[in-house]
Amino acid sequence: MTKLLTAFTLVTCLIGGVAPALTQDRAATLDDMFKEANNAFWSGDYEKAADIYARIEEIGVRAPGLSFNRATAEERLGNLGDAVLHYERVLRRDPGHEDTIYNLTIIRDYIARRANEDGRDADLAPHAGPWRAILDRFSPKSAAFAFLAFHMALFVILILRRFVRSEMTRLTLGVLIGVLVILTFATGAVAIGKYDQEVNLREAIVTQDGTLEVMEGPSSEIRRFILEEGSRVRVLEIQDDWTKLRDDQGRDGWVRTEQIGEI
Amino acid sequence: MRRLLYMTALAILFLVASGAHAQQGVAPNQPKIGIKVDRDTLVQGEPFELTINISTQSAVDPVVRLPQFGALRVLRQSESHPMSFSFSFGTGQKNQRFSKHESIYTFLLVADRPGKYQLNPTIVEVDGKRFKSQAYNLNILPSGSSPGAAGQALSQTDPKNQTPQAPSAPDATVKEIDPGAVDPNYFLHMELSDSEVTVGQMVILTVYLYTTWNVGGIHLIREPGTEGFWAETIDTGGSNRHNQTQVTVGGTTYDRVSLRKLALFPIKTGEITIAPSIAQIEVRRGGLFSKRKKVKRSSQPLTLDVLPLPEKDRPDGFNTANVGRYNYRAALDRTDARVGEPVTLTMTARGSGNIRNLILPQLKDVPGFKVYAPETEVNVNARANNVTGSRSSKILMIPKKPGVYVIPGLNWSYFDPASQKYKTLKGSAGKITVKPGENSTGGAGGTVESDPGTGDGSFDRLNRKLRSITTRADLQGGSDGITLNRPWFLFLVVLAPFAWIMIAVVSRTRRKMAENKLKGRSKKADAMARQALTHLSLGTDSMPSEEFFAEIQRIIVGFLENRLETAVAGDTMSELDARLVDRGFNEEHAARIVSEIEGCEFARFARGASAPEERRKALKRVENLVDDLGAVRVTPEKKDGA
Repeated sequence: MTKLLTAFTLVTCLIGGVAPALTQDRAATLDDMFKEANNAFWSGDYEKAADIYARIEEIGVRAPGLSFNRATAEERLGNLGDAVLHYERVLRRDPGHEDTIYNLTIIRDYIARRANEDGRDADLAPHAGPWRAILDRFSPKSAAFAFLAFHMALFVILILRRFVRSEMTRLTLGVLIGVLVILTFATGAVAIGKYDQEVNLREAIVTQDGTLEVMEGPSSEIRRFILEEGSRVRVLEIQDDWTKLRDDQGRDGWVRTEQIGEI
Repeated sequence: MRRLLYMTALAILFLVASGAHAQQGVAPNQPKIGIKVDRDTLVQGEPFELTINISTQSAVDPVVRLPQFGALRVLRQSESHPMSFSFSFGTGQKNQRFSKHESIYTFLLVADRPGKYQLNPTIVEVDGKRFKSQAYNLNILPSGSSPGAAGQALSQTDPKNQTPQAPSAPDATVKEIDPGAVDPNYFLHMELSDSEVTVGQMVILTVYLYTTWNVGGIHLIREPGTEGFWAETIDTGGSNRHNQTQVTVGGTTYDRVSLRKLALFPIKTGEITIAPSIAQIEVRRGGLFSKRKKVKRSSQPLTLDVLPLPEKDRPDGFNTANVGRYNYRAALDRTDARVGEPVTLTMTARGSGNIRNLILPQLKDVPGFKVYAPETEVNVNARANNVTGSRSSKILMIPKKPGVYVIPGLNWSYFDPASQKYKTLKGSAGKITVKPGENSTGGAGGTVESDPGTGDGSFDRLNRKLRSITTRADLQGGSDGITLNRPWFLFLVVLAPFAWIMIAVVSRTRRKMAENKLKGRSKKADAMARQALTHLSLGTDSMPSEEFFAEIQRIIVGFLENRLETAVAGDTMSELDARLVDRGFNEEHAARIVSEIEGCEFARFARGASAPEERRKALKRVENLVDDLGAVRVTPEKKDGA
C-alpha cells in the first residue's frame, strides 16, 4: 500500500512539474518564432516571414493576430488571393478584427479596380443575406458564450422565482424570464447557425493569381465563367483534384483544388 | 444751502464737459500709443508678451491698424477695452459725439531665429486724421544667451513724435465711391486691399455696409464670388459694433460695418472679376419705436489684375502656391537610431500667405532608409487682415542598414511679393547614426509600419494604405474547435434545466408528502371519531345526559383538532367559525359544527335529562357530520403577515 502511494505521488509530481514546463517551453518557442517572423517582415524578407507564420499555424496555433500577419506578408509578396484567404480566416475567429476589416476592404477595392482597368466588371465585396450578415457579426465562441450566459441566467431566475413569495417580485421576475427566453432563443439560433457554418458551410477564396477560369466539369476545357483573385466561393463537392464551387451569383463550376484555399 | 452747492457742482461739471466738447470739435487730441514688452532681454524660442496700449479722445471711434509681426510667430493674441466712455449732443447728422477710448492689444510672440526684427508702425485714425507711431525694433538673442548679454532695444512712440498725416478721407477706397451712384441711405460696397497682385499673393476683400439709418439685422444672402481664388475667411472678431466705423462719402457721414472679410489668393493670372455680394438688411429710421423694413442691397463687382510670377531668378521646379513670407525649418527627431527604429523628419514652413496650399519639399529615396508618405499638419490663423500659420510635413523613415547617413539638404523656395524676389531657405536635416538593430519586435506592441515593397506604383500605394503586422498575438489561446459541442459546454447547458427540474420535482414531492400527511391525519381523525362515536352509541341510553353531550362535544373538538393540527378548545364560537372557513371548510360545514357544539353546550347545562331518542338523533347528526367533514381538504394554516 505504501509503495502504491509513493508511486502515485511520484507520478503526480512528475505530471505537475513537467507539464507546465513543457507548456512554457512551447510558449517560448512560439514567441521566438513569431518574433523572428516579424523581424523578417520588417527587414523586407516577406517570404521568410510568411513561411514562419505558416509553420506556426501548422503547429496548431489558430490566433487571429498570427493569421493577420501571415495575410499581410502574403499581400506584400503580391499574393492577394492568399492575403484575402488569411484575412477571411481571421474574421472567422474574430469577426470584429478592425485591422482585418480595413485591410480586406482595401485589397478587395484594389483587385476590383485592377479588374475594371483590364475591362472586367468585378465586385469582390461578399454578398450575403440578412441571416448570413447577422452570423458574420459573431464568432462561434462569442455566440456560444452569449447563448450559455442567457440560458444559465434564465434558469437561475426560474429557480429563484420558485422561492419568492412577494407578488411584485414574482411579476418582475416573470418579465425578466420573458426577456431572457427571447434572448436565449435568439442567441441559441445564432450559436447553432455558427455551428452549422463551422461544420457544414465550406467556403474558399480564389488564390490563383489574376483570374480563375471556372470550367464546365472536372478536367473539362469548356469555360463557364471567370472569377477574380480573392473572390469568395462556396465549396460544393470535391472529386480528386477538382472542386465544384458556387459563386455569389449562384453560378456553379469546377476548378482545380490548388487554385483555391478553403477558409 | 446743500441744494445750492449741488446745483453749483452740476453747473461746473456741465461747463467742463462743454469745454472739452468744444475743444474736441476743433481739433482731436493726439492718441497715446504705448508699446512695451514684458522683459528686458528677448531670446530665440522663448515666448514674450508685447502690449500695445492706445488711448484716444475723439468724436468718433478710432480706427487702429496694428503692426504686422512678420517672422515673429503669434502664439496668442487678445484685445481689451478697459475704458470706453462717450456721450452725444444734438440729433441726426448734426449729432456730435465725444468719446474716450482705451484699447489694449496683447500678443504672445516667439521668434524662431535670432536677429533684429523691425515692426511696422501702429496707425491710429481719429476724426479723419491719421497718426502713426514710430517703427520699433526687437533684438532677439540666440537661444542660450544669458540675460543681460545685450539690451533689448524697443522704441516706444513718443506722443510728440507721432506724425499726424495730412487729413485724408476715412479710407482710401471710400474716395472711389461715387455718391451719385449709391443709395444715400444705405448701400453695400466691396473693397480690395490691392488692385494688382501677383498670382498667389494675398489680397484682402472686405464687404462693407454703409448706412445712415439704424440697422437692426444684416444677413449676407450671397457671398462675394471667389472663382479664380483660394479664399480664407478672416475672423473679424464677432459683432458688427466691433467692426463699425464712421466715414464720410460725398459729404455724408455713414456708419460703415464690415460684413465679411476674405483673404483671397489668386490661382490664375489675368483679370479676375469678383461677383457682387448681396445682403438683406433690416433698417429703421428714427427712434426706437419707428417702423422697420427689410431691404436687399447688392454690392458692385470688382476686378483684380493678377500678374504672373517673375521669370527672373525663378528656381527650378518652383511651385506657384509658395507665395508669401515664410521661414522654414527641417529637422530629424533623433540623431541616433537602430535598424528598424522609426525616425521622423519634420519640415515646417511658418509665416504669412496661403498656408493651406503650401508645397513643401518632397523627400526622394534616401539610401539606407525606407521612406514613407508624409503626414501633413496645417495650422491657420486668419485674423487682423492677415493669414498666418504653419504647415508641417512629417516623414517616417525606417533605417535598413547600420551606418552614418547625411539626410540631403531639403531646400525650399518661396516668392516674397513685398520684395518681388524668390527666396530659397536651406533646410539641412543633418546627420544620423544608425546602429545594428536588436533582435526585437521593434516595440511594446501595436501596429508598426513596414516596407512598402515593390516598385509598382499602384501596388506601392496599396501597401502604404494597408495596416501592417501586429506584434501581439495570443499564440497560446488560439485553439481551433467549436465551443458548442465541447463536453463542458454541453454539461453547463444541461445543468441549468436539470437543476430547475430537480428543484421542481423535489418541491412537488414535498408538497405531495405534506398532502399525504394531511390525508393520513384526516383518516386517523375520522377513525378515532368513529370509534369514539361507536363506543358512545353503546351507552347512549345508560349515560347521564350531561356526560353524553360532553362526550359528543369532546369527540367533535378532538376531531377538529386532529384535522386542523391546532387547538380549538379555547376558541369562541365565532373564532372557531372563522378558523374553519379559513382552513378550507365551507360555511355550511362550519355552521353545522358550531351549531352542534353549541347544541351540546346547551344540552349539558339544560334542566332535566334529554330523551334517549334525542340523544340518538344527536349521535346520528354527529356521525353524518364526521362523514361529511372527512372529504374536506384542509388547507395549511396561514402564517402571520403572509
